[in-house]
Amino acid sequence: MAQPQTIPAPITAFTSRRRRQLAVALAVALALALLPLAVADVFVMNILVLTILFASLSQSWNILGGYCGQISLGHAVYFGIGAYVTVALFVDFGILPWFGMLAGAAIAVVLALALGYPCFRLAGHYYTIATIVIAEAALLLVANAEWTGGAVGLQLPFAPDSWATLQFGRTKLPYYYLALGLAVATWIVSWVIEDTRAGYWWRAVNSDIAAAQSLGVNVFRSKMAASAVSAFFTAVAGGVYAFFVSYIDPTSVMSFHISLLISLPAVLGGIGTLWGPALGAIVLIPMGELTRSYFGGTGLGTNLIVYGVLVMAISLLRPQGLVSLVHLFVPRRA
Amino acid sequence: MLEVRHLAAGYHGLVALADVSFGVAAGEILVVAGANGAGKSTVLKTVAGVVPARSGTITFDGARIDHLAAHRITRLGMAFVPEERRLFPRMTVRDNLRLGSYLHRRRADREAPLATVLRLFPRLEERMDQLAATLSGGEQQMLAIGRALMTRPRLLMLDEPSQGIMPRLVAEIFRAIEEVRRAGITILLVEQRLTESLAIADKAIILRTGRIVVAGTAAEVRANPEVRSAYLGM
Repeated sequence: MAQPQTIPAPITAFTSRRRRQLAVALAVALALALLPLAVADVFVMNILVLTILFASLSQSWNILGGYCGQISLGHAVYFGIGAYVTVALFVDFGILPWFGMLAGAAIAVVLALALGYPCFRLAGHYYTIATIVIAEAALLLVANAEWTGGAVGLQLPFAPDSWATLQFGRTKLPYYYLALGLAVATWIVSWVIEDTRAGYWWRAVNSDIAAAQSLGVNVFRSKMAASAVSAFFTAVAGGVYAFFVSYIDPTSVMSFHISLLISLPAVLGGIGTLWGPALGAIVLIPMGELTRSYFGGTGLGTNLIVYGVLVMAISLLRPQGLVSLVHLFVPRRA
Repeated sequence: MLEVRHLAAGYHGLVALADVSFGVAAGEILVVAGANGAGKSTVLKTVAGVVPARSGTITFDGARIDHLAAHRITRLGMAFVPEERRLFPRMTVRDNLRLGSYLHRRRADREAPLATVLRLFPRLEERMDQLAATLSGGEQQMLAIGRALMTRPRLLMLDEPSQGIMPRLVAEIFRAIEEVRRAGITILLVEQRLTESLAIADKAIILRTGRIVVAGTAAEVRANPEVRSAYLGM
């Protein structure tokens, strides 16, 4: 067995567990990068882009909802801001979407802080309710504003294929790699956060506010910071999504349904875990797209019914999410 | 080091503390004792900033702290271990300790107290990668104290550390408290077990319905006839 240690094991060690996580992520990213070689079908490609994009979105949501425990059901606001700002800046001023996305993300961060200032003094469920109400209000504002095109929305002009303008008429492939890049970025951000002071403080706030305070954690500031990081990446994904679909209107980027699609994958896959959001997205997003294509239109709401059943099933059978199923096959190691 | 003057506090109109004054000098152990509901815990919670003071002053190293938020008080160098311990149950022992250490920015400052904590509580080293929830009551108390020590406090506030612990470990906890003091850390100890507490304390105050009824050195309090009959059962 282990030798009696004379030097205590450091509390901050680059453990084999973290190295393994990184290795798995690298393998997954490589496999996903090669996947388009095997996929020719446009319909399937479409589903893949959306799945990866919402995996990334849910990973961003998880930073606030999973680590810090602040359950937002209004992330569509940040998503919508990212989408609208990126498109509007491009259409009205010719600003390239790369900069537009950053502008949208910056505005989303400012909004997240402005909303957090009053809302993070609310505890638990009240915060969640506030996010729903704010998102609904934002939806109405956008639907009635002029620069957003009102209820009609905004359409990207037709332009030649270019990485600068992110316009690709004939192929979805560039959007696939764009989404994959973003998903890798949000995964790495989460992986880094898990091992930093901020990540520890956020999880402490999630677990026990009084205990966190007794260790010197500024609870309010922790929530604000987690919210800002989460909003940033959510808005960037909103920009990518807008250029992928090339047409946005209030319901397609800012409705409650979007908030659900952002939060549910993490909840289903494993809230506050590194792989939960991606696992949840793999299950939920293709299902939503398939029901939509079979039943037409909004899919007669069948996807919502299935989401509901899945979330109920997971909370009864596997409260730690789909990710905990992995441990049925892979033994847990330190 | 810590000065409490005419402190009053209460919950929802109920008076929990009235006109409580005491001081703790650097390196001392002060015991706060009394029956259930006498206001012992409220003293600690008010000093730690968990419960607001209604009137009176609390000063730490000459600076008023009675209107500071709990986390700011911790940052000044006062660590509070609440009665319920409040560990992070789904985190490992290591991560619980690590959370205490993050008060300090430099890595060396964060790692340094670990050796002290593990010397005080060698059991924790065996349990480093277990979830805190799987520890026994005594081990959880050790971890709670250890986690507080990771913040490198100058004043440690302990609320009923012997509660819910098997008798064999109680002695170990008290030994640890003595050793913490030997390391130069001042201690404010709330305890029901008066005999054991007075054995390690320099000073003691005894509360009844929110007021101090007996105060003095450990020897004086031990010799007080009322204390002997009511609290020490002699």
